Amino acid sequence: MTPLHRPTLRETLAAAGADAESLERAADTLRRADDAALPWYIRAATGFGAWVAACFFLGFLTLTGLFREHGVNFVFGAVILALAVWLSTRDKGGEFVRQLALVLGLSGQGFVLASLEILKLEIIGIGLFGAALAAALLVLHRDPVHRFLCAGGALTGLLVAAGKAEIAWLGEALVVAALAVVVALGGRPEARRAPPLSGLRVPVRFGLLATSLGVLAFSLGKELRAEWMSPVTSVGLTALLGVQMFRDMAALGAAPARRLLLIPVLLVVGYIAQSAPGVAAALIVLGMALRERDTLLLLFGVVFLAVFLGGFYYELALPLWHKAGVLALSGAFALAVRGVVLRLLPSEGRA
Amino acid sequence: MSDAAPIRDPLATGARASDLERLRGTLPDAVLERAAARLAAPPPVDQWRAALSLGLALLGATLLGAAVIHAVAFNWQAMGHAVRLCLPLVAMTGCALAGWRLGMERLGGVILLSLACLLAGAALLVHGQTYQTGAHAWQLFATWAVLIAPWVWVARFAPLALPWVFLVNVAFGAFWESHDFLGLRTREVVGTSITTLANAALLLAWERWGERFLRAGDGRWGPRVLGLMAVVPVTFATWWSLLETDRQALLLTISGLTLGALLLAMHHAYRRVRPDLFQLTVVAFSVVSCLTVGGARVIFRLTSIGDGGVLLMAVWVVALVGGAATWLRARHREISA
Repeated sequence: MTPLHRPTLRETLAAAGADAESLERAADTLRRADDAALPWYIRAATGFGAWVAACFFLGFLTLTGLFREHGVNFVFGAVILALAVWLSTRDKGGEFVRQLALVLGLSGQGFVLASLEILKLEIIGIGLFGAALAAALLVLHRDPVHRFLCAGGALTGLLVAAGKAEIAWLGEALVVAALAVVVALGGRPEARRAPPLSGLRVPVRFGLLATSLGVLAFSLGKELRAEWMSPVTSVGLTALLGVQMFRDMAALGAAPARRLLLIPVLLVVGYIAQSAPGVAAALIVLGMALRERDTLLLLFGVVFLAVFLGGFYYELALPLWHKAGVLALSGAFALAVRGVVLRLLPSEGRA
Repeated sequence: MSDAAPIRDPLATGARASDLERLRGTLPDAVLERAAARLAAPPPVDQWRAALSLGLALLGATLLGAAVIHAVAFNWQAMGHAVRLCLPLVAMTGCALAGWRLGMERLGGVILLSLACLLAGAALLVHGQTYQTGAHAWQLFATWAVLIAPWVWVARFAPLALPWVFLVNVAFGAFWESHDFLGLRTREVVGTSITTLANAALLLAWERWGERFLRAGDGRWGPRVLGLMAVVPVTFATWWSLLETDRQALLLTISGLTLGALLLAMHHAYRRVRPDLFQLTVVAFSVVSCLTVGGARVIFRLTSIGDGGVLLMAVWVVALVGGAATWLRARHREISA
C-alpha cells in the first residue's frame, strides 16, 4: 500500500450508498465537466498574459504622474480593489478575467498600504490595518489564490505589528497559533456555507502554513535566531507535534502504555528544535500530509524538513569528522525508530 | 495514425473533497455527506505503517549517506589521486553491476543504471579536477553523453532518455558558447537553431517509435518536454533577433525560418495527425510571445509615441492573448468532440 493511497471515487461513493445508476450519472457529470474545463496549461498561459497586460497598464498610469499624491493612491487603490472584488464574483469571463481580478486585487492592496501616510499611522498601525484589510479581502475576494495570499498577508501584518511592539514572545506565539489553526482545520469535512464564506478552508490553511514556515526560515541563521527567537517557538511547536502524535495514536487505537513510547522521540525532536524549530514544524506538516493523504502537504513537509534539518547539521559547531559521527548516529536513530514503529504497528494482514 | 482514446472513467481516480463538490445536484446530499465523512477519516494502520517505514528508512539512509560524504570530505586532502578517482568509479561500477543483476525489466535495475550514469559524470568531474586536464565544459558534457549512451540505449527507460537529451543540449550550448563562426552570433541564433532542429528530430523519433521502444514512455509527457525543448530556445533566438540591430535581417531570417518551419510542422502534426492540445498551446504562445516582442520593437523603437506606447502595449497583449485563448478554446472543442 502506497503512503498516500486514496480509495477511488467509485469505491468511496459506493461505500456511501450510491447505486450503479447513480455512479454512472456521477461519471457522466464529471466527464462533461472535465471536457468543458480548459486544461491547466492554457489557463496558466492566458493568466500570465493578463499579468503582463495589467503590468503595462499600471506602468502607463505610473508614467502619467498620477500617483504622486498619497490621497490619489488611496482612492485609486480602493477603486481597483472594489473592481477586483466585483470581477472575482463573476462566474463568466474565463481565466483572463480571473487573473485580472487577482492582479487588480494585489495592486489595490499595494496602493492602499503605500498611501497610509495620509492616516498618520505608525508601523504598528500599518501592520494592523494591513492585517484587517487582508482579512476582509480574504472573505470578499473569491479567488483562491488571492485568498491564499490574503491569509498569509493577514498573518504577516500581525507579525509586523508584534515585531514593532517589541513584545518578543508575541510574534512567536502567533506563528505557533497559526500552525495550530492549520492542524485544527485539517482532517474533517468542510462545513457547507453559502458564498462568500464557502471555499475558505484550503486557501486559509495553505496561506497560514506557507507564511509560518517562511517565518521559521529566519531561524536558520544563528544571529537571526538569537535576535528574535526564544524557547516559545521550540516548546510550542514540539508540544503541538506531541498533541498531534498522541491524537493519531489514539485514533489508531494504540494502548496508553504504547503511546508513552512517543516521549523519547519528542525529547529528541525538542532538543533539535532548540536550534532548528523548523524541524518540528516540518514534522507536523508531514503528519498532516499522511493523515490527509495530501501530496501538496507532503511536498511542503519534505522540502522544509530537508531545509531545516540541513540547517541544523550545517550549524553544528563540530569538525567534519565529528559531524560525520553525529550524522551516522542520527541515521542509526532514525532506523531504530523505524524498527520500533514496525513492531508497534503490526500489519493488519498479520494482526 | 489518429489514436482513438479509450473512454475515461473519472470515478477511477483517488477521491477528493473537491470531486464531491462537483457532484452536488447529481447525487443526493446524504450520499455526498457520508462520502465526505469517509474521506476525512484517518488512513488505516497499514497505510501509516507503510508511510512511516518508507519515510524513516529514507531519512536514515540519507543521514548515513551524508555521514559517509562528510567522512570522505574530511579525509579528501589526505587521499591520493588514484583513491579520489576510484571512489566514484567504484560506486559507478557497483551501481551498474547491481542494476545488471536485477535486470532492466525491474524498476530497481533501471534506477541503479540511471545512478551509474550520474556517477559517470561525477567521475569525469573528479578526473578533470584532479589532473587539471584543461578540457572545455562542452568536452566534459559531450564525453559524459557519449560514455553513457550505451547504458541509456540498454535501459530504454524514458525518465533516463530525457535527461540524456538534456545533457546533449547542454553540451551543444556549451559548444556554441565557445565557437563563433563568421561572426554570426552563433551562440544566440545559429547554434540555437541547429540545437532546435536536433531536438525536433528527436521529437519526431519519439513520436514514431517511443511507445514501442521506451519503457515508461507511453504517456504524453516525453514528447511534450521535447516539444518545449525544441520550441523555447528558437523562440528566444527569434526575440533576440527582433531586438538586435546588427545584421538583423540575416539573423531574423535564420531564426524566423527555423521557428516558422517548426511551428507549422507541429501545428499540422498535433492538430491533424496526433491531436495534442498541450503542443498546440506551446505553438500558440510561442507566436504570441514573438508578436509581443516584435510589437514592442515597433512601438518603442520605430515610433515616437512615448508613454502612450506602454498603454498601446497593454492593448496589444490583451488582443494577442485573447486571440490565442479563443483559438485554443476552439481547438479544445475540436479535440474533445
